[in-house]
Amino acid sequence: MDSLIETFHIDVKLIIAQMINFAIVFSVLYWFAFKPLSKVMAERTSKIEKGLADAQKVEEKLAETEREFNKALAQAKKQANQILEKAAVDAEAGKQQMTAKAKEEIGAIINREKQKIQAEKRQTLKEIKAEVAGLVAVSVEKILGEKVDSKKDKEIIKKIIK
Amino acid sequence: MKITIKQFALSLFESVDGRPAASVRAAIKKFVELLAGRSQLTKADKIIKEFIKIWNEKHGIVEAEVVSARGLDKETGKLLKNYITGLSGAKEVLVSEKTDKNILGGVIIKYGDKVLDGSLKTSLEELKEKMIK
Repeated sequence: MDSLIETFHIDVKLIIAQMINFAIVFSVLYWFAFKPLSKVMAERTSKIEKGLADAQKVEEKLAETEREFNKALAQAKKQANQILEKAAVDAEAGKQQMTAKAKEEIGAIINREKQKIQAEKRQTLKEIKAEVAGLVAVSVEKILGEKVDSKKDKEIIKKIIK
Repeated sequence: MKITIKQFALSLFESVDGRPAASVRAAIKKFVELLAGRSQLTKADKIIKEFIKIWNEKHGIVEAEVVSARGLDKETGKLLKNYITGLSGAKEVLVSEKTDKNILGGVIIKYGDKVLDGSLKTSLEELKEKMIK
């Protein structure tokens, strides 16, 4: 062992001193450089992880919002379609109602006019009948005045009291 | 008390009905005096009309009016009188005749409150009405 130390000119004291030096340097470095740096790194890592997690959350939130938006959009579209369909149905119903009402009014007008025409026809017919009857009566009266003599008159009276 | 025309007529009828001619004359005289006394002579015409009505009623007499266009001969007048007698159920019928050319022919008989219109004019009017209907 001694020969080895001599061969390689190893100074144990020096080595020990160096070891102590190393230990001191190591400790200083550890306490004043490595440890704070490690702490900073850990904080940084934590921040980054947190940032990543937040980003993930935001992404998820965004995806969820998009899904909700799409859902709401679909719902709105559905409602819009329903409203449009209802409006179309209402419009059709209104159109049919108006058509029916118009038909009814036209029917009433036609009936009224028909009745008016019938009344006018009846009145005209009545007037014609009265005119004809008057003429017939005048003619018959004239004929009777000429044709009925005392003899005929006597026969008529006999027939009445028979 | 006020006496009505009907009451006057009825009392006159009761005082003359079934009495001899002399009594009748006396009753009529007395009645006229009564009317004069009551200042009712102006109602004499109405009383006489009412008296005739009562008299005819009590004795079954019916007064009838017959209207013809050309007048009636004896035979037709008799037929009409018999006809009215049969219709009214009266014991006696007093017929008064009227002529009205406007009825054209036939006859109108009026008695009591009845009117039987068999005139040609009315028949013609009925015909006219039927034609219009």
